[in-house]
Amino acid sequence: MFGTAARQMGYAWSMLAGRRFRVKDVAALVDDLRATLEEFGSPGEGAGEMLTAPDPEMQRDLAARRLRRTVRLTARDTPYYRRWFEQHGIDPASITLDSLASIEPTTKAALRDLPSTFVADRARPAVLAQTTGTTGVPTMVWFSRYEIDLMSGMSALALMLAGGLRPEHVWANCITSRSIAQILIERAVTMTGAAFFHLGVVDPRATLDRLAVPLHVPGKRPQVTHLNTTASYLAALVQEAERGGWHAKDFGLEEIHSGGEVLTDALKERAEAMFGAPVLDGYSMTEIAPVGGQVCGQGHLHLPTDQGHVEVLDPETFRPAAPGAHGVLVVTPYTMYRDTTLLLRYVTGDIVKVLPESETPACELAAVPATSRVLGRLSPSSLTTRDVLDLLQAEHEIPLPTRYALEETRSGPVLHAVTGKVSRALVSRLEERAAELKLPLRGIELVDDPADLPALCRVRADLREHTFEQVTATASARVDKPALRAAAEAVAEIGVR
Amino acid sequence: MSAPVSEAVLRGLVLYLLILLTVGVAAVYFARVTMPRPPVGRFVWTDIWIMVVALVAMPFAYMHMPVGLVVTIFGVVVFTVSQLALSPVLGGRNAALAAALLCAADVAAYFAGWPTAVLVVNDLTMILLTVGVANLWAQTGMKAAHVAGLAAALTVYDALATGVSSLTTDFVFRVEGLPFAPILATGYGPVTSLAGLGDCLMLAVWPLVAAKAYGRAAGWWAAVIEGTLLLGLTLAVLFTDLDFVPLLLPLGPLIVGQHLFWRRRDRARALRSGPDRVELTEALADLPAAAGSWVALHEGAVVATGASPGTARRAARQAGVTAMPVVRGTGG
Repeated sequence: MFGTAARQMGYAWSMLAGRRFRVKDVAALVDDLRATLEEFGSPGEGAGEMLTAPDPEMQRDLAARRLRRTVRLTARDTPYYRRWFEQHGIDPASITLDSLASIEPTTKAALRDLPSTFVADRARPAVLAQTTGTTGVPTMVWFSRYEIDLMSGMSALALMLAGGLRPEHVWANCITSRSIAQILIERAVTMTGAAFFHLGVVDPRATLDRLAVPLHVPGKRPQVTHLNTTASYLAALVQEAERGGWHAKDFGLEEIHSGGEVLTDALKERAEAMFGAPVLDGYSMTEIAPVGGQVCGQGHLHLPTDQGHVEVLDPETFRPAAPGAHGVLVVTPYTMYRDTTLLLRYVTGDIVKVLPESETPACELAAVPATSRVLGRLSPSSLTTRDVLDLLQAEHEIPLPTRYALEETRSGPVLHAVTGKVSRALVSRLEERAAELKLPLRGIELVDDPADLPALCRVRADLREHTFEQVTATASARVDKPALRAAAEAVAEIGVR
Repeated sequence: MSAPVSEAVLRGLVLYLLILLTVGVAAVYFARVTMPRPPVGRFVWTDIWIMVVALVAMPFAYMHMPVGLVVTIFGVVVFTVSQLALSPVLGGRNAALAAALLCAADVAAYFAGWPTAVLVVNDLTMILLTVGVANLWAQTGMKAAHVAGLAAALTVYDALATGVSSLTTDFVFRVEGLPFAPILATGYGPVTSLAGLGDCLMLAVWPLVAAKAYGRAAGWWAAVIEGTLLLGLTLAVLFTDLDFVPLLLPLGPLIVGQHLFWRRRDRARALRSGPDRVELTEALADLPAAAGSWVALHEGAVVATGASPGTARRAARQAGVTAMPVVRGTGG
């Protein structure tokens, strides 16, 4: 108790002062919390305040302090921002919350083109993570051991306090192995005492099989309890589970975490029905870690302000978006969490809507600032990814994961979507619904092959990894050879690719 | 029996009953009231060692501190713990008010020169303090081994401080009659019976922790053993030349002994119980090899098969097996 109290005081001091944490203390605090949960089943009173300061006044004060420090250190230590401040003749020490807009937002392209200019001079890079690169080329982001240890520890605290993760749970990750989330979640989950299972983004048939298989290990639930994946891979799992005759009772899932992509209500409901577990929608991004958000029961995206400064700006002018208008999330992660790749006003590219003044959240996360859910990307005709997915995923005839492309024409956008079977009736239904939703579409064209789309449709479910069982089965079916030889050839074939 | 002797007997028996009352109230409180816990943290060995160091060092410090400072320190402790103990029952604000009134009454009675009132109020605060601290320890995860360790350390200390040296006696004479004196007493002066706060705490906490760790029987046995010990010591003090008895000298070993006894019994029971995960052992039985086949087993019998582990589990569910089967390959 005395030791825990001392560590909590140290943790609170770092939070209030905006200075670096003692990573050893954070890890010890995770152990303390885990022991507390094992002893009592739940944390004591006021545990939620460990994650975020409850008072908005205090939040603003802390944000101002953390931001000033972040700007000062980033301008001093990174070649990119040092040059920028020198060129523009702005004194970094003069930047406050009110004058932050004088710093030019940092685009994804700037970071992707020369990532090392964003790495601090005194940094000790330890891990090079990549974004998934759905826009074409992955962005490289360096992290230090401090960042990895700290973010894992804080994730572990959040998983136990807010997520209800306990040592008997088994967490499976179906996300790309290249992202920072893979490393952080693996470490965080095991710190909580729960088991971690890296399933990977493999053939959905293999994933469903793994999720169903009984585990029978001491102290753990008999099957995987938590699944963490992207919306498109979840969609692929739902499609395959429905096709393969799986039932919710075949799985032991208690929670499904979806992030990294737009999750529609239609897909959420379909997945919940298929797997018999609630689907939680979250927001995170490698570049802005540990800043992240959670979608509440009322469908708002709540973005805590403890880890970074979040702005919602007009995507064209980069001025604050008006209530009810579309805006892009622009994030400045604080240097108390980040000491390697430092970013100021990073333009995530993720579009949200600023909540109208009449829409005040009254949910369980009401104290945390909120926007609409992430709407994806914005087309020139002001259609968002969510607009299109809401339209298409309401139709079960359209295979999951949904693949589409918008073709901009002079008279308006044409939506091209992949369907299993092109039918006039389906097109009519989609057109009627598009009209109901007032989507500014000139037409809808269905194709049965993704190759026929006018543009490439990249989803994270495409970042597939192979497994030998699938390779062996395919190779054996193709050529009538002994299984071992077929597998060896198939492996060699992958190697050549 | 002469008058002073009969008064001493009466005081001794009243003290005996007061201690039993304290232990009883602590047990009822433990069964019915949940004290607020800190967000994170539970009792660990470090806490025991810090407490032992504090308990050993503080009497020496108190002997050299001004009386006013000693009373202030005790007053703060009494107010804090009383408020903590009462808040789940009365609510935060009422508990603070009640604790403040109790402390104020103790101080007021002292300055008014009413020794009987000081005695009564002080005993009330000591009972509340004992109930609060014993429950705070027991409810924040103090384990039987922790109590045994603390008892062992305090036995050595008590033997030296009370049995060998005059530290305890000097300390009692210093604080006797003062507000918040850490003693449960039935009178001040030459004809008196009293027990120290440390003794009361060990007496109150052990039945709670024993019950939590080893079951209700262990808790009841702890209480019965303590009651018998106290009665024996009370009679010994009353009818022999004994003056100050280091209570922990017999109580400490008794706590350690009970802990070892119950722990050994639990371990023996665990050894006697059947092996765990019998279904996995059963699943190791030889099965006819079938190429690429997986089987789902329930109670040792094959209930379904599949081309993969997951499909075998699914087939078992489809066959009406509601329990989780063991799935294994057939070596084919």
